[in-house]
Amino acid sequence: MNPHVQHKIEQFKKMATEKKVAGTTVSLEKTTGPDALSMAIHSQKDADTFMAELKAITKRTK
Amino acid sequence: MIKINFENTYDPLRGEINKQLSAMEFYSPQQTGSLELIRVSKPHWDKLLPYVYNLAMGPLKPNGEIDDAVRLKHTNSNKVFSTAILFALAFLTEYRELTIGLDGSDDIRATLYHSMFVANKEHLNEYFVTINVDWYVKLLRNQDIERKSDGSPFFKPRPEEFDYTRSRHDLYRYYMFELK
Repeated sequence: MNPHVQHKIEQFKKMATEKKVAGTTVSLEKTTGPDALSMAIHSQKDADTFMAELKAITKRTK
Repeated sequence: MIKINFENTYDPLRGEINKQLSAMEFYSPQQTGSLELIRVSKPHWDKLLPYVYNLAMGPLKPNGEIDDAVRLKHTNSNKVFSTAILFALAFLTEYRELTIGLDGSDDIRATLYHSMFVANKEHLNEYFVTINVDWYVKLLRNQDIERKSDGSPFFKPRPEEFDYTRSRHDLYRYYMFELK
């Protein structure tokens, strides 16, 4: 990884966590509902098939 | 067109990076002259897909949820998206086994994501493997299609390698990336 970007990531992580430690009043936990992929996966079998296909593609691409 | 540049991002106001919930907030100046608080979060943790985290981004609704449907006029959309993707990169360097998803649930968002990946192909490919998802329905032997119990087509998501020759008129339904 580009050392400059690596440094930026570390700086980014540090800033984020430091600000968290400094104290906040609003929860970060509320977010959004399920996304389209989540709604299209109905069973463990669906999920296993999807993840196996995903893994095969990423392995080939990497 | 969005141009990603990790050298030019907004500073986080606060944040958190862990597997249960990762989120960060920053201010994005708007064309109206106001500042909009933007939250980027990876809230989605589906028990069926524990390795896929959805990335959501937007201002907060009064109830504290992210409004990812509102249309904002950022003074610098490149910087907004660069910040969000850098956050995703920071997250993935902590959890290399995970995949980030972007939900292209409407044409505007899908066009935005599609264009972003195409326009920044070389830069993003330095860090990420991009995968995308289309929805398919099975053709049965009797020439009908597979249907759900209510008679509607039974669409199933199928991941594919990003085909960069696909135009913005042939969008994917869901965009994913993971660390290279």
